[in-house]
Order: sequence, then C-alpha cells, then structure tokens
Amino acid sequence: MITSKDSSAAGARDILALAQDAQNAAAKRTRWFGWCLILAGLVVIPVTLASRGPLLPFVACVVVAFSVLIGSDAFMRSRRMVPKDSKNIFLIADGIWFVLLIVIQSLVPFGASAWFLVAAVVASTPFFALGIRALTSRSRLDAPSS
Amino acid sequence: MAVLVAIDECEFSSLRETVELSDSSLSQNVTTLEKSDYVTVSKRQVGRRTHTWISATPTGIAAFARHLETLRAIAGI
Repeated sequence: MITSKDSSAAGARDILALAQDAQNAAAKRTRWFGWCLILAGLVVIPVTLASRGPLLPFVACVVVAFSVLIGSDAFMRSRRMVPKDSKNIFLIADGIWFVLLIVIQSLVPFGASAWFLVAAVVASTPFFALGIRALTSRSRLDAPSS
Repeated sequence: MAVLVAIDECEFSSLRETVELSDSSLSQNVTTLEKSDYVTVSKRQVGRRTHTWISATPTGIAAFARHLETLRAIAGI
C-alpha cells in the first residue's frame, strides 16, 4: 500500500533528480572554461621561455599577465553561460603563474635552456591544474549554505 | 535555481535551452524569483540586440540550499 508519506518522499526524490539533471546540463554548457584555462596555459609557456632573454623584459611580462587576464575576461563575457567563480579562478592561475615566473627568472641560470623549459611548464601548471579540475569536477547539487 | 546556483550568470536563451522551458514560462519564473530577490536580471546591449542576463543572489542561493535540505529530509536522504 502506498501512503502519502511514500509519495511525498518519491516526489522529493524526483525534484532532487531534476535539479541534479539541470546542474549536470549547466556543467556541460560551461565545459569550455576548462579548455580555456588549458589553452591559456599553452599560451603562457612560450611567453615564459621568451622571458628568459632580453626579448621579453619584466615590464613585458607584466603586460602579458594583464593581457591574459583582459583577454580571458573578454572571452568569458562573450559566452552565454559563465561558470561559478571563473574570474577568480583565472585571476588565481594568472597570479600564481606570474609569481612563479619571477621566482624562476631569479633562480634558473640564464644558459640552462632545458631547465628553463621545465621551469616554464612548472610555472604554467596552475592553468593546467585548474583547467583539468574544471573539466573533471562533477556537480553534486551542493548549493552553498547560508 | 539549480542551474543558477552552479554558475555566475547566464543569458536568458541559454538558461531556456538548459531547463527546456518555453520563453513565456521561463520569463514568468524569472519574474517571480526576481520579485523574491532570489535572482537579478540585467540587460546588456550586444550590437543591435539586447540580451538578458540572469544570476542568483546570495538570498536565492541560501533559499535554494534550505529548499534542498527540506527535500532531502522528506526524501530521507
């Protein structure tokens, strides 16, 4: 025998399932953000490598860091659905990359090209790590509580 | 609200495609949510067209969290 309590529970479960489906659909539509971060990571590797010599001085690195931020912001504005905290995530990745770039420039010897390539990849890891995280994270219907 | 709490903001047509509602139905829902201060609606000019952007407010996010808790309690999850 189906009681009203059972039907209420089934109804609540149905609503939760619908909400989960909606969040999954939103996650699919915001998948571009992860690829955007990975692409930014690939872009900053040659910039990091170029910063080794006189080709790209410190001021140019600052300009590149800001350009990455402004470019990503403009790209995100062109999208129809913007994932949660996307601007902050980009800011964090860009900030960490820039700090690592400064540290690497002071630590890695000028002539060590192989080491600098490794360092350039290491410096760009925030973009890759956050990009992979954005691509692989699954929504769990966890709305932040008040 | 499930979609809006998971994102920063989204354009009206994108939300309509995601939740699979008609223009009028979604518009009515958004108006109701806006009156309750659960969402904010902003209009932006892109070229000649005006696009409507919707985002959840902190009040809306908190209300949705309470709603989920209640549903989970009813469902016994």
